[in-house]
Amino acid sequence: MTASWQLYVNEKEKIDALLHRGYVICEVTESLEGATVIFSHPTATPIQEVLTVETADARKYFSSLLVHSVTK
Amino acid sequence: MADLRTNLAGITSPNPFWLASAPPTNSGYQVQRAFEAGWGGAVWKTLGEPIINTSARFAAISFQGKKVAGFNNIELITDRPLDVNLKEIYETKKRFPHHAIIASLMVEPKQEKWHEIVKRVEDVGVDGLELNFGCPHGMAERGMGAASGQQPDLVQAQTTWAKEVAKTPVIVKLTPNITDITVTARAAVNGGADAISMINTINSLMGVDLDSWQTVPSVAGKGAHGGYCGPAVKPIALNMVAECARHPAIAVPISGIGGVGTWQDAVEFMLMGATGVQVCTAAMHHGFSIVEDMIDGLNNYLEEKGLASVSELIGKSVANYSEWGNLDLNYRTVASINTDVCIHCNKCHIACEDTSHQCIERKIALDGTPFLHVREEDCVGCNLCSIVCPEPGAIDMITLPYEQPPMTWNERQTVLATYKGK
Repeated sequence: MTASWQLYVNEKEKIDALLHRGYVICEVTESLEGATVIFSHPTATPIQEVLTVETADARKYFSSLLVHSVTK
Repeated sequence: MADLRTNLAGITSPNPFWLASAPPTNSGYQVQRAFEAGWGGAVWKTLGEPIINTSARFAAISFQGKKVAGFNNIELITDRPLDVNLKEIYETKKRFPHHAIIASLMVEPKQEKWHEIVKRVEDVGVDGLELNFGCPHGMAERGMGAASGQQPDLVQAQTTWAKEVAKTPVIVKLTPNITDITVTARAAVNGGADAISMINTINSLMGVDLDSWQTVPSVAGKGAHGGYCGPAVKPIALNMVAECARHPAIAVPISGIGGVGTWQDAVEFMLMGATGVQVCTAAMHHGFSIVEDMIDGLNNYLEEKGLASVSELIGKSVANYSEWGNLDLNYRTVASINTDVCIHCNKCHIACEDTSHQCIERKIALDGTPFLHVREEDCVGCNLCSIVCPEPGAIDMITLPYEQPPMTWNERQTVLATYKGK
């Protein structure tokens, strides 16, 4: 497994882990560094988690989840 | 035999293969030879005030042994008096009443000039007119051709002037030497054009002689930019045809021009919206008889596809052409190397390693045999390896199953906009 693929896998695992714990994506800000994704959970501690998603595949991944959640 | 007849804005032709307005259609002798060979139509070399040409007019680029990959000319419109051309048009039409003869016209952007030439040309029985707003060299320096074709207001005005007196369909031939050809195409439509044709030639300088330091072609030591055409321009022409074909405000037939040399080229242009095609460089390279293969090939193709008429091809691929933002980001294709076909030249490895995504590894099997391996997870499906591979069948691009549902960039941005930070 190469470094770039591993970077994607690492970011995807972090996204999946938060979603698995019941967090939902509530805010996305895209910038020169990639995307800052804010996850929120009404009862968990902390209430918010922030991920900086840099790889193209991971940015595609979380946005696919959002698009799919809207369209399904 | 499939029905190859076409009807472009009322101009009927026994097949979709026309000769473009250019040196091959300079005289009645040539056009009649072309019709005898099988061409369905001819756009007569542009009529206007007869010009004086230079000696040394053409140049071509050969690419890796292929002659005339691109062709350049600095020849202008007809150098023969209008009456001479009209007499030959009349005689040709009389001899070939079912073939399409279209008169290409170019005059100064003045209403009375357009009225005069349209009336005189239509009197001899042409089937249609093609307004030449495209020639990029020579005539453009005199305010005609591409010079007026690059100004939408002049395209519209001149089209209107021609249409004021024209009794036959008016085709407007557009220049590709413009940022967005749909702008001038719309101007032509607004002026009343019955059809549009594209592309005329592209501004070009073919080369510089490394010994004499003179440009190519050289006219007594000097050169001037010419018009580029031939196989190399086909992708540019095809895109421009497609952009016009899918534009809702350009609802007129299109005559496709630019690098057409085979029946396959013609089919591509027709699938992207052209009603028929015009050919020049291929005929100049190989002679009029190439149309025989074009007709046979097209007929066989239609029969294989189960199509009764060539008109069933028109525009069938237009819906498959869109903006980048409508492409599916979750579609994945990756390279797959067939080791039993691979000749181990390593071109794919070098191309990928140096200029793409470093996903093709050189490996050695247990028996010592070298082989190439694609790391699928790192392959972005760019196609470069399969493009540079010299061995047919050695690399396939295979489609992977979807891991996420389809999603376009436009869909993504629409949804992400609702998640924007305050």
